[in-house]
Amino acid sequence: MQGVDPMNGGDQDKEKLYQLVAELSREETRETALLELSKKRETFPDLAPILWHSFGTTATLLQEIVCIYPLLSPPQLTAHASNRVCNALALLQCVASHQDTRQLFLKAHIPLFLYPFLNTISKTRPFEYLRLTSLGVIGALVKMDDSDVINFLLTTEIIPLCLRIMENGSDLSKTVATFIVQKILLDDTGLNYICATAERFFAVSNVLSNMIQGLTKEPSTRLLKHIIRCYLRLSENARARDALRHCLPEQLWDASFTSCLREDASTKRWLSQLMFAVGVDPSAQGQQAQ
Amino acid sequence: SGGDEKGSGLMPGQQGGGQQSQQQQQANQDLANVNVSQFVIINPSISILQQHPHLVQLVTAGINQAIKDIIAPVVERSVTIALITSRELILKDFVFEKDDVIKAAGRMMVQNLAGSLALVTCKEPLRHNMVNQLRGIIQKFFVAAFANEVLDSNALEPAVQLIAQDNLDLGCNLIEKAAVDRAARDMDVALDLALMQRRQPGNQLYEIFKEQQRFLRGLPDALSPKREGGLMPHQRRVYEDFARLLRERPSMQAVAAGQGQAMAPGPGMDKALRAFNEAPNHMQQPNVGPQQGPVPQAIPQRVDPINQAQIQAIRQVLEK
Repeated sequence: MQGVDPMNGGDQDKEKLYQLVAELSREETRETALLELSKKRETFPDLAPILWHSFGTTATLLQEIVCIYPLLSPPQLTAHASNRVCNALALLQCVASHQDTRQLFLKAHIPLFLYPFLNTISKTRPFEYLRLTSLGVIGALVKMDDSDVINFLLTTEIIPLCLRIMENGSDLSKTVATFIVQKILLDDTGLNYICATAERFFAVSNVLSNMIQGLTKEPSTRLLKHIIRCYLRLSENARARDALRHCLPEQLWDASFTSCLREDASTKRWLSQLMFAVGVDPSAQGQQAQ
Repeated sequence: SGGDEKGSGLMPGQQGGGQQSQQQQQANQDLANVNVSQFVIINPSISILQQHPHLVQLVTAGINQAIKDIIAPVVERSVTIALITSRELILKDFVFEKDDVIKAAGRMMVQNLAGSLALVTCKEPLRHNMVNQLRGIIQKFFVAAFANEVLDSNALEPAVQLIAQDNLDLGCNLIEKAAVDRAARDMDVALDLALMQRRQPGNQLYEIFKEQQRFLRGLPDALSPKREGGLMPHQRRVYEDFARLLRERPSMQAVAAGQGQAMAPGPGMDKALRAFNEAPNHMQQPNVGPQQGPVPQAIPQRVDPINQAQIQAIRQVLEK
């Protein structure tokens, strides 16, 4: 952990930052400060440690989160309330991403306060936006390739929550949720966890397969990329590889995604690695399809 | 998928050892003995119950059972998480304060967080559980009493939904109150231990404490945790608000109205708020109590249904 570096940003920026953080702790100025800080977070490299270490700031952000809980069921979240809590979540995303605060953020178990948001099912925009922003915080955590993050998440309900969003979410939510599952799989403990029981493996592979079916109607190159990466990683586990021989959706090797993958060399390579790993010969399958 | 419920029993902090203390077992036992029969609401216009008055008692027992089934796991999960979060944030914010002030702030925060988590966690499972229990009870009653008479499912489903809806708040309020009470009790123990460890060189908490103090030198005074008794009124409000917001909740109003008698009384949040307020504080202005601060003004807010900056930040998460 390092101190605040006074050379980062000009003095004027720094003063402005301190002032906005101070305004967060006053109810009268909080809403505007949330908005300003979440807009400007890119310009303040030291924002995360200041948010974390300043008195009461994290407690305030947490208060913003739990205040929204009564609006989740029955669904009563307005666009205004959703915006406000999403600005608070955006600040927590900074804390989750920053090298010096990530461990503290995990140690305090703050991600768990986002799970009630991920557990909502209303399709209205305020809820979609709330789920997406919450996924963004978890996504920022797993992006760091830190095994502590994965170990923490595996003790929680994040996988079933992500799987449900992968089945029912908006396009971008699905993509972020799949990205989170992909990052969990890329960790050795995560792969072993998911492949430890048939129930877990099939929970994941069924959802991946359903998403592939969905993509044949509404293609998304980016989502396809994450799904294929998940499959490829699953194929590195011997038991999962055996199971995949029987449950890989055939759209992966017929011509369904040819145009989708034309521009994406790395995903195309992953797909042929996957085919090779599970023992599907794409050329032979292609001929069959014709 | 069939995996939706998978892993929902796994709680952070619960894996190690897996042994519950005797005190925890006793507390869970107390929760499992909850009896709310006298508060159950049965709408007199429900025709199945009019025709078969014997069912009322069975239905009441079913509501009680549905609450008993989920109260202990929900309370345990919510309190576990709330304790960890509150402990970490309280220790961080109250670096130099006296122990009784720290513990009072801890109690206010943990009660709010545990109650909030319990309520948001229990609502849908409780509704689901109530509906299933009631449906089962009524169907069984009909099979036993009238082997040859088919129960009209058009009458069953609305009755079951109505009874569940009428009693959902009762169950939620009790579960929330149980979490609030348990959290306050457990927090004192957790903070006593943590504060002791923080004073022992070589202990992990001591090292974190020292590390934190190094960092704090770089923060401007207005944002730093304060010397003993140095909290400014608006800083105190952050923690007082946890107590105030909890007190305003319907569950706490219901408790005040007598429903809470079904639960064992727990340490009150009023006590915590008093302890926090009565601690010597040279920054507190006379006559400005926690409830008398400036009235929050409505801030004109530009409603921006899609925050493009945030969407952009999420997209960045996905970039390599």
